[in-house]
Amino acid sequence: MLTEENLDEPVLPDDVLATDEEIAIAVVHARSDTGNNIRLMAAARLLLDRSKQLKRVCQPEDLLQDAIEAVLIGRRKWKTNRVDFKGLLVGVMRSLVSSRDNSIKAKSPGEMMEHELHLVGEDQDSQNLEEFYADAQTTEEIVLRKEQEAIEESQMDILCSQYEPASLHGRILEKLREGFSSHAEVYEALGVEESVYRNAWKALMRAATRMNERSKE
Amino acid sequence: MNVKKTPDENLLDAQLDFILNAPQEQIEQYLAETGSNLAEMNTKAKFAFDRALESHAKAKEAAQALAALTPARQKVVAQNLSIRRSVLTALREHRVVVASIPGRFLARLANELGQAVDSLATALSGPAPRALGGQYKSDIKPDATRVRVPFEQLLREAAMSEEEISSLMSNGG
Repeated sequence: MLTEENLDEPVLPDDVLATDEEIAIAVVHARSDTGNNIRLMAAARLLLDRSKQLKRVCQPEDLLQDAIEAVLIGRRKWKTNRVDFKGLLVGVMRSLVSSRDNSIKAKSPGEMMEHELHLVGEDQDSQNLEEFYADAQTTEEIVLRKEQEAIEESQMDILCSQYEPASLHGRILEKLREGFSSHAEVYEALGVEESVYRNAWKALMRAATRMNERSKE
Repeated sequence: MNVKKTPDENLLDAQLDFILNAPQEQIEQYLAETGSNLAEMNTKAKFAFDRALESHAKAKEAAQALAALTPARQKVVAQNLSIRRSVLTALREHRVVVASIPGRFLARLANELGQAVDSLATALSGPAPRALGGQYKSDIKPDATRVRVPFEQLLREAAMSEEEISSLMSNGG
């Protein structure tokens, strides 16, 4: 059973949990930080672009709102020793996308609870399930969705195919295949200057974004 | 247990790390190059914070309305909803998987409490509120939210009849 109530990771003995007051202060600070807001929205957009189903019924700002709500209501605990507030919200958004994508995929319309899809902001018209599934069941939609899923499932392969394996971009992607812990680790392993790496990485980010844009068209 | 990530998950990790941690001028440059309107992104994020705060305030109110039911009122609400008191207690302790509660029942409960359905659903998905010292005597256990059961299982454990369960699980009407 997978619901939003099960998203939280186990609390370890050494974990330091934020109090309600600390969370309220963090929310106020985060809201007034323009740089922070831009990053959160960029993360929300990326996560939705990479989702299989959710991007059809959810906007980045709705996903961000739900993540903030999950933390405020206590559905997700903030372990302050592990992550800062911005990182927490991105982690929650990632969990929400994953669980809701799986939930939409796994359930038939009859089994789906309407309030499980209340991602669209309250001031907007939400698409109800009947409309959502009726919309999704046309032949054209099914074909497009399957093509889109194929693209999403192999984003790394498609990105790799755009670069020579021996090029810096190709080598970065090959390194990422093995795993990722930090960008510093990647450029050190590749033996390149940070500035050179950063420029190459930005080009890869742009290429991935263009790929996501094309998959939405 | 560490599960090995797929190449696409590693790629997503790296992308999110860049978005979260790259120097401000680099992230702004990248977003500008991909046609993003930074001012609009900031405005939308602020709205998201505002709506979340507003929604949280309503959910908190719904949680308190449920927690603060007096024993006499609990009896009436349970009767009106055709459920046993133990089912209402489990709801008050936020021990139910919210997604398993039929929308019709959730709407009836929200109506009994004078709250919006969405606010009640959000409230029930979080931990139960701590006792409000002096305002009412709470029978809510602090750690009760950790174990959640599906609504139908709760009804069965309360020894309700198949007919009653069937009626409560029905989403129509």
